[in-house]
Amino acid sequence: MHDIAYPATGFDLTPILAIVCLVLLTGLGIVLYMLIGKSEELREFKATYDKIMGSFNELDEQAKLIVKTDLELNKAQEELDRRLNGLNTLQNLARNMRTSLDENEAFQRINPELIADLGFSRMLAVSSNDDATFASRATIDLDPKKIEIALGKLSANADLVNALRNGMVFSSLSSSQKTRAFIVSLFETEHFILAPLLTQKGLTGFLFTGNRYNASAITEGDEELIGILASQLAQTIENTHLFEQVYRSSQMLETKVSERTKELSHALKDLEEISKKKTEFISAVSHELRTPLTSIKGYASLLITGKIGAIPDSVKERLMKINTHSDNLVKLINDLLDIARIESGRVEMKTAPQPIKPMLNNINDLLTPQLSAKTLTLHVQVQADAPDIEFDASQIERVFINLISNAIKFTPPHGTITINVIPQWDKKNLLCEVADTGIGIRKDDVARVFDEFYRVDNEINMNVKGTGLGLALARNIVEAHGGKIWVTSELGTGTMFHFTLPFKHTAKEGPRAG
Amino acid sequence: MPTNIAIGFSSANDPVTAFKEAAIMAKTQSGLPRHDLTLIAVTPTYTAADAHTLTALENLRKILNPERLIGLTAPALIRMEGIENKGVLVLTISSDEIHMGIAAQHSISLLPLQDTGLKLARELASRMSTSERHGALIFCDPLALNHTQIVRGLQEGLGRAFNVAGVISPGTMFLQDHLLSDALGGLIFGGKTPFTCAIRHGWQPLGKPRIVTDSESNLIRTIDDKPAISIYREYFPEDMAGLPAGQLGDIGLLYPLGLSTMHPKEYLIKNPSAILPDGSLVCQGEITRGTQVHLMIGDKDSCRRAAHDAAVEIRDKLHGRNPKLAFIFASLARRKLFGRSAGQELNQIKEILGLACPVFGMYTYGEFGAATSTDLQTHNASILIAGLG
Repeated sequence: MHDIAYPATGFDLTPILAIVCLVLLTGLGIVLYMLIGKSEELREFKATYDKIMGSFNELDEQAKLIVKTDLELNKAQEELDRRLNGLNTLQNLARNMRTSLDENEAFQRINPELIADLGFSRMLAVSSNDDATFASRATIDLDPKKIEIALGKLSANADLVNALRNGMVFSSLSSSQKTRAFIVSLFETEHFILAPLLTQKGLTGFLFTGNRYNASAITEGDEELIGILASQLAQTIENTHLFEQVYRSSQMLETKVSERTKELSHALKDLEEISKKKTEFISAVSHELRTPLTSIKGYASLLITGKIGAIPDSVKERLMKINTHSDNLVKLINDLLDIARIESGRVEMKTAPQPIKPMLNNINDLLTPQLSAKTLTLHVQVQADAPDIEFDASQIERVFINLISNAIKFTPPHGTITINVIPQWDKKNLLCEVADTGIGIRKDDVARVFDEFYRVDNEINMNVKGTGLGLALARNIVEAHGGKIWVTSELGTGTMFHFTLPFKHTAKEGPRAG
Repeated sequence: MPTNIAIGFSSANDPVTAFKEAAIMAKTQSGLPRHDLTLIAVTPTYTAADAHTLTALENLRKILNPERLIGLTAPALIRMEGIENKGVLVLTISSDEIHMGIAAQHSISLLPLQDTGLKLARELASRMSTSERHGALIFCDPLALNHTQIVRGLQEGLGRAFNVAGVISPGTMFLQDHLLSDALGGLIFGGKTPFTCAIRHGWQPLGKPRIVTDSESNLIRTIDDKPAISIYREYFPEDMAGLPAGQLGDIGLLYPLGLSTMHPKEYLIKNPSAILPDGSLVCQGEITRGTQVHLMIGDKDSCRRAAHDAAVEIRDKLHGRNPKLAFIFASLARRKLFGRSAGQELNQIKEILGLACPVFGMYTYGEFGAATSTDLQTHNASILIAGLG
């Protein structure tokens, strides 16, 4: 060790150095102290920073969770939106298809816009042929040439066809990898749904929908929607077939009806022709009969008078019978002639507006002897407001006489015959009724009493002669007036004949005042 | 002549029929033999074949006899009656009070974008004097561009404070009797009738903030020194794995990026449109390095509220009056978010602007607008309303 030599300055530097050293040491101490303090602060700051960063990272982790949940919610909402849109579209599509009555039209109604609304860009609708092959019916965004090849391959895949026959829906979401790869290779469509078209006959085709891109992957909801659409399409196809059947049946039926109508029309024409000939024949024959009959009756009457010479009583009696029978025959011929004339339209009704009551009074007077003979009572009731109507008095009188004579004939002694005349303002006609308390008519006979020559088979008719033309003539007269005649009867209680005479232009509208 | 506004619509399948029907409907409403302006928006199916579209356009012009015609293609249309996925929407305006001018540039991807924006702005500006001008609608066809350059050009030509409402929507554009592609078009309004715009989004930040550590033009290369796509991979590991290469799918629409702005609670929304092989995200508009970025999440309520606020802003700017005509441009991201209830947003706006206010609108892939604290910017996931009146 060397001693330090200090120059002789006259000053002692030691204390100064000591002070400097002390100051330096103190300063160093302070700096050290401060550094220690700062370091502490830094540590605290770092700790705070780490804490904040930790919080940030924690926040970020939470954010990741939020984002994940949010994304899932968004996806769920998107799926829900798609389902709602799909359902809406499906409804429109189904409505479109339902109104289709033609199979081709039903397929054509699956248009690109509706398929796009369902979330697909590609579509293929296929129907089954009779030979178990498939035929493309409608396509969207698929190459027709490739479809033909694809359909050939598909129909050759027995497993797949059988599964379709069993109602299985295939999709890129749920099918096995092998099936999925097969269908993707057929239609070059990554995301797809293949649904069968099943009707009561079985597999009638299938519906394929799909998308090429990953962004448009299939969901379970899509599978359901396309499944429903396929069912709707199948139902529509079935309906179109049924409609076709019904249409064909109705066409056949129409043809048959038309043929039958033609036949009936011919038959009616023939009948009319026969009826006309019959009328003409009756008319001709009646004329030819009446002329000699008039002579027979004339000669018989002349002989009865004895003007030509006296005749024995037995001859006279025979001549009287000839006369009576001639009268009956004349009446029969006259009635026949009248019927023929009315039917052929050769008799013109000499109608004139008049009240009906005076005519009925005359009839009453005329038939009084017959009524008295059988102790029958005749009531004539003409409603006070019965209007004057237009009718041929002589003809309508014949109708009444015919009906009342019948009533007299079939009503036992002490019975009642009632004539009612009632105006029917709503129907604009006068209703005339002739009712008796007679033996009545059987139901089977009711419908035939107006037929020419028809006589009801009963005891009275067996004993009393008649032509069977009276009611037929009455019907013809009423109908020639534009009215109707019918009968109601109850066996053992009585019979009522009804006939109407239209007001035409003579009757005032509404009942008479008073 | 007082202002005459008419709107026609058709969704007929055939373009010629649809254009004709929409034109006849508009003409029936207007009752005029000629129209100062015709604005058309059509969904892409109507512009698939140029020959048909040209014939359809020619027929429409014969019916409406417009002095100016401009139009664009849109993914979906918005009108008073609701949202249309398919159709032709025709607006006609005839007025002495509203002055209008149209202009368009085509093949813009080959040109310097700022110059294109500037050129369009100058052409539009030349249609009327500075004092008359109120605002402009801008239509941009190409998607993947640095739209900020276009916006800068527009601002340079029209002024930073000028009201601009713009949409990015790819597809054919119409200018008079021409069909344009790769185009930028514009419609300027001026005169006595004011024009005003409002833009909102309603998306909220989620998770920790991150920093754009590397970016270039409209590309975000890295976030927190990791490839930009990492942000999505961290949040959606399973879902990202199932997506086709280069695509973000619905995730990019539902969970956009929010860039911090000067305003602490305001975010500029960006829907990344593509992923580059290096993990960079392609956006619309410029992204600045160092910008704080968040993953954003949206809900229907906040988005409805945003639409409500934008409509209120329009009415406030018009001093409480309902506009004579409302243009509504809504991002497709909102359509995605709202799903079937997309009409609710429209109803919200109609309630504020009046049920009688005619609406001409469409869904968009991007929007140009000035939010409260920003200049004109390229937005995504937003609702942009422009009111004329």
